[in-house]
Amino acid sequence: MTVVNLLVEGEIDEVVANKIVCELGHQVGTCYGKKGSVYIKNKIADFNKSAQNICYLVLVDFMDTGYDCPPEVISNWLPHKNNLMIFRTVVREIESWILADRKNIAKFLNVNLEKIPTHPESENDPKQKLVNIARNSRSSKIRSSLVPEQNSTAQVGKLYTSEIKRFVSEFWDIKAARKNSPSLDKCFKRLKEI
Amino acid sequence: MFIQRLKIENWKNFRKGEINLSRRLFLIGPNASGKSNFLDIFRFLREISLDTGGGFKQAIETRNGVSAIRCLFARQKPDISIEVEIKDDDDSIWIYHLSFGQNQNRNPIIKSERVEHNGKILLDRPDTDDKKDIARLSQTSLEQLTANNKFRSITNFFQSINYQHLIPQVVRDSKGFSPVSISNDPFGRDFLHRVERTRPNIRDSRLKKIESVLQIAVPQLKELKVSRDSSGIPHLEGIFEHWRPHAGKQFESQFSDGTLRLFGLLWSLFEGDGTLLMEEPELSLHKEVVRLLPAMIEKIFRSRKIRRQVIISTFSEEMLADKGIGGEEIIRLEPSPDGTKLVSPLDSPEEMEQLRNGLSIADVILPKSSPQGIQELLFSL
Repeated sequence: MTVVNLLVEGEIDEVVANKIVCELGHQVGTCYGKKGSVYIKNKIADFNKSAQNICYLVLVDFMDTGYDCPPEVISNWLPHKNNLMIFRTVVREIESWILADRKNIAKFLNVNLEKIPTHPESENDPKQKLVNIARNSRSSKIRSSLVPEQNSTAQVGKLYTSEIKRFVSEFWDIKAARKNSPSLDKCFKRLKEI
Repeated sequence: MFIQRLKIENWKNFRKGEINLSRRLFLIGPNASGKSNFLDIFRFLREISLDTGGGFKQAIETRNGVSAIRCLFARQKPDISIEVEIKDDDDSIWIYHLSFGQNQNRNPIIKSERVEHNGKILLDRPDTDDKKDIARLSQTSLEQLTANNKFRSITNFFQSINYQHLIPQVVRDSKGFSPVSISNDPFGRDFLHRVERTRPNIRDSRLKKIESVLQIAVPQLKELKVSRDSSGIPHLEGIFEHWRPHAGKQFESQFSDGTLRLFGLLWSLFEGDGTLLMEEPELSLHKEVVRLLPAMIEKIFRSRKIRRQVIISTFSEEMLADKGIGGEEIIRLEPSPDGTKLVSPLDSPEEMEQLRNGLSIADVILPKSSPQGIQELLFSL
């Protein structure tokens, strides 16, 4: 069992990372960051300096990085990666990984299975996609929690984050999600190696 | 003088703890972990050393008795004890130790009291006099002028401890919170009286300095002064610039929470030179102002040419992002099934490595002080 510390963009990423680490029988240490991708970009080199002795799992939404392909992110942000630094880009956004467990998210959102994309990593804006699916939910509770009110500048509903976190911790099935998300699968396999 | 080491037993949430303190110290920890109770140790030391308006018995009474102070986790040895190591300006070391409990009538009694100076024991109670007259054990020797002549300097030092937690509503309406006047009230009931009573030249020079800082945080503010109304009640008066051609006068009742808090905070930095205890100084302030607080405190002490100890409880990310704050200046309060633990980053090779590698307290220590199980907070609603 290894203690794995997390460095993530936000609250949903934290719950996702937590679940992956626990699934592999490791123990989660401290969760750092939760201040967006720019924070990670600015601090990653400093965190990396201690990654000879301390294990970190870093998750960054690929679409926030502005690069053309995931390897570019790592070569720019972390040219001298230490061995206990597990840096993974989430293609394209954490919601892709969540949508990848199609069966459970369809049930949670109370929509038909075919409404959930089969290739969530090729969605241009996965968060928007998830909100749009919720918009057509049969459940008014899901609609009112996850979808922003009309004319609001908010991107998501008032309870979006807390509801998605609840979904991840209670229902999200990593095994099923890995099949539809290569970047999740790679992250899982890499973490398994430690 | 400053307190460089603290040892406590059975004090409120702390069953047992021993830790080094630095001249500037930040306390971090989740809600109800005991930050205020930690600060209360020093308030208690101040109160027991006051010969008038304080003393051991009263300090216990205002805390609702020994059993309310005693840690719920206390085991076989239920006495409460506090020991502080004080470094004097001449580098000599004082130790003050006090342990107390209650007798069968639930009255607080001193179980032991000890004063050492550079290893030499100056006081060791109970002594023969205490054995002859057991009633003596209801008073510390700090509060008795005849008993403390050999260690007057630590009595004076304890008396100079200053706790500040100004509550704007209280400053605005002190009568509403307490009809009788309270002296040295940390929440601000006598705050304006204290400001007003300060020697005019000192007061005006402080007000000028505070005004110049406040003007940056509150750009509309043009001038700051203290005046008395026709019934003799002191008021804080600010001249604010606004759209009218002539600037408008406002009194403390119209000041914003942030303006009053910042004023109180700055005033406390200029007032006194004993250990200053600050409870969440970031409250009501814009994060850009909060970011500057550590440097502001340092600059004011430097300008006063004093080396004053300051202990700050905080949740503020902005304040702790200051790279000038070292791991040795942090105490993290960590709740556990055996009472709250006092944790220093110095004891964690991992944390020290992260800090040495350029990360700030806000980056690596603050995340550790988030409440356990916070994820479930919303699920339970």
